Amino acid sequence: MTDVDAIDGPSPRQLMLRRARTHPGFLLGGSIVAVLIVSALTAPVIAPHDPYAQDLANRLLPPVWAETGTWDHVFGTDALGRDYLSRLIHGARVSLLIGVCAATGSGVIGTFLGLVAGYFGGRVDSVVSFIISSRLALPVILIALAVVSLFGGHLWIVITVLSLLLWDRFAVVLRSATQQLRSQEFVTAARAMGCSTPRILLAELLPNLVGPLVVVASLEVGHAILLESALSFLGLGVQPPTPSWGLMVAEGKDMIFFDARLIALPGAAIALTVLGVNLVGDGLRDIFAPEGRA
Amino acid sequence: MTPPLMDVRRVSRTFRVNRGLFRPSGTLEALRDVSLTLYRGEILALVGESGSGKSTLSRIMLGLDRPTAGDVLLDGTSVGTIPRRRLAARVQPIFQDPYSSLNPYRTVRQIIEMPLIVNKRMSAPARRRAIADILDILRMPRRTLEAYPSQMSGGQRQRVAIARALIARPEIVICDEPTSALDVSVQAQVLNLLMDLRAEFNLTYLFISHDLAVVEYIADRIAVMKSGEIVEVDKYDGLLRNPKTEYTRTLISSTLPVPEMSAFEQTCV
Amino acid sequence: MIDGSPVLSVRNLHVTIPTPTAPFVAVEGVDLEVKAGETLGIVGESGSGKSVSALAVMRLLPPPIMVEADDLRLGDLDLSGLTEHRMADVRGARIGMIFQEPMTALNPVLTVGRQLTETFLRHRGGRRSAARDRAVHLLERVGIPQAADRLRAYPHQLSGGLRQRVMIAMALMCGPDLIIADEPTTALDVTVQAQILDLLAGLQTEHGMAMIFVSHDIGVVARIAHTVQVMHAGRTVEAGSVHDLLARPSHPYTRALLSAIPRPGMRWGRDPLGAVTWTDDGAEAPS
Repeated sequence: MTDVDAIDGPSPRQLMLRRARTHPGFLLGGSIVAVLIVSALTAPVIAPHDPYAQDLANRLLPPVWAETGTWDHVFGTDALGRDYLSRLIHGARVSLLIGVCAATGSGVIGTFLGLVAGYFGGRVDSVVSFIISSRLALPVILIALAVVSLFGGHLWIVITVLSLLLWDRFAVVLRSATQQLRSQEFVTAARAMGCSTPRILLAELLPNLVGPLVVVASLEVGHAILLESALSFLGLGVQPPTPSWGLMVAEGKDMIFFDARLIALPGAAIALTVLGVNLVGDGLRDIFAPEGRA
Repeated sequence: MTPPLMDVRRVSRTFRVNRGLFRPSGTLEALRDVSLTLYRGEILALVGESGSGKSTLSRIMLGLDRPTAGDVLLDGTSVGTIPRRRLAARVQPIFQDPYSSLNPYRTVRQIIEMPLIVNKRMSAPARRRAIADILDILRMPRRTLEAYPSQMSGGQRQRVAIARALIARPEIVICDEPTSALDVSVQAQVLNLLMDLRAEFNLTYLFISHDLAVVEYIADRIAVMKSGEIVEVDKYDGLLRNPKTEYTRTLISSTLPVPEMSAFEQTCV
Repeated sequence: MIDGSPVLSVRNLHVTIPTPTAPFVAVEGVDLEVKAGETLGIVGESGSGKSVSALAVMRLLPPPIMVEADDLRLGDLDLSGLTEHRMADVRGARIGMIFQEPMTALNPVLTVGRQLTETFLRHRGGRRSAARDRAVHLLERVGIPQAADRLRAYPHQLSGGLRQRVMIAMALMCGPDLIIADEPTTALDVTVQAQILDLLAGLQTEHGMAMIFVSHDIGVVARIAHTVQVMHAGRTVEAGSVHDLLARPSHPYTRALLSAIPRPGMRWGRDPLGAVTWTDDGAEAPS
């Protein structure tokens, strides 16, 4: 009972690992995301064909499961004779790149605003809350459409627009989490030992906020991927011939009655990706949530 | 007596309180014209109930809050004009709740080292030596350094908090109920430890507590606070034996002595 | 001391908490017995199993936790055989509970009056006005000024001491046979603490209830209890009358605990405080 030397139990990190290993949703989502990341990174190697190579002689070849399908084009070809599997694999690059970059960008903005509002409170909080409310009043998809149609649909413009529009959840969650932490005595202790305010925010508070941060970030990755698909579908996101899932759905929509695979496959890819990312986010919430103070 | 180390001069602190959306905000007087002197090397106990202003006063003495009126002098210099780091090197707090006073995502080493890093006066090897020294003094084993607070008991955590407070060798330590969140058996250890350290580090304590028995055990002088004012200050035996105010008398009579202990004490002590 | 059959008797209580590795035995073979008009104090440090024992008696521990006892009866009622529905009738009606932190034990969005009368109407039925009268009467009895007006107050509008008095009044609403008080004064200021203890003792003699008083503070327990049980690591290490236990603590853990509290008149340097050095391996003497 009063054994001063005893150190009981696992460290916070070990605890989280243990919970992660036994969380079915997290494991399933994690596997999906891992497969996607690997295929995105190794796309040039694993894709059987060049995603841009047109072959008009072999337009709209059926997939392998159809009667006349071949293993050369597992998912068949599109209206321009490009290998559909290769385009799907390369499409993962665009989706994940946009998802991760937009979530990172909006994460930086939202984290800064949330931390500052939660820590300082008072007038700063009122100002930030007003900014958050203003942002929530903006229709994301309309603004994105307007900006992209003004400046063009380059990849980096899409990422920037999404970063500037998706930070609200970060700010809201971090603001309230910071408010709870602010009154903890370790923050007062840090002030009393002379820590500067940036140091308190970044070195003392931020590590305690990694949990909610990662959870929100994973959900926003899914959100950004969906928005990118929507923009591309409307022809205002990534421009052809870049393989993007949203664009592929758009290109396939004329053929919907003849060859549903052209829409079903990229649609399934989008759904699976967002599902995987959200499962990871949900799992992370369970993994982080019981942690804190033992 | 020795010259005053810290001098609280006629300090008042009022807070604005919002009383709902459409009503004018009122004010709350947390401290009203408080004067208190802390002499070098003494243990001054500050006794009072919750809401009496003890914690507000300690925050002001730590430089974490500014008085609305009056001033706090450290060796004759106003605390408000001393840069934060310089003040931190001389005055340190120990908090009541070792569960909330340690950052759960930092190892013991990171927690203890922080004051030295902030101070910027020490090289990395010197910091390592300082950490080793403080561990020896507090009789904490080396391997606790890599542990997280969640892996430790309340008593161990309070030791870490004490190590963090003392590593930069402050002159004044402000203890805010340092034992009341701990189990009885651990309370005694921490009290004894604080008393041993006082000699070792030449410390001056401001000891905030609601427990008169603890206060009587360690304090040289006692100050009693009630509703933001100091109602009585005296040497510990004088105050406890001849309380001058009604409130102090109530406090003393409310402390619960363990009755019928005489027989036990004769057999044990 | 009052003779008669015990209001509560618990024999060989075991509480087991399943954990991923090995099940953790929080309470191991504890007997509790308390008669009408008598207070049993349970003393121990955090993790000793004292609160878990009290909650086990109320059958308030959530499912994965297993509670077993050879005998668990309130008067002539066997509590272990009751359905959850019947047990809910017993709680509040025949057993009153007072918690450490009244702010979290009271519902913040209901008025004090509503909370007091609801309990009564649920268990005893009758007219709302009768319940109201009883609530006012009890609030007056526990020393709340302007009791009739306070019925309309919300918990956050009351001070800590007043809230704890409301909790006590609520525990008394249905005239219980047994009161279980879990650290009821720990969150309160010392002067208020003394008043609440006196109030509880007075009410107990008045109503002739049995009371179980759980606390980590042996001084508080000594002030209010007739018999004391000292718990350590899930077991009772010593039990007996308050007087015997304080005058002649036979178990080394009790002795160590007693020597670790500063008492009035003690002074550092002159009267050393014995820090408890105690290992878990049974009845070995401390160093």
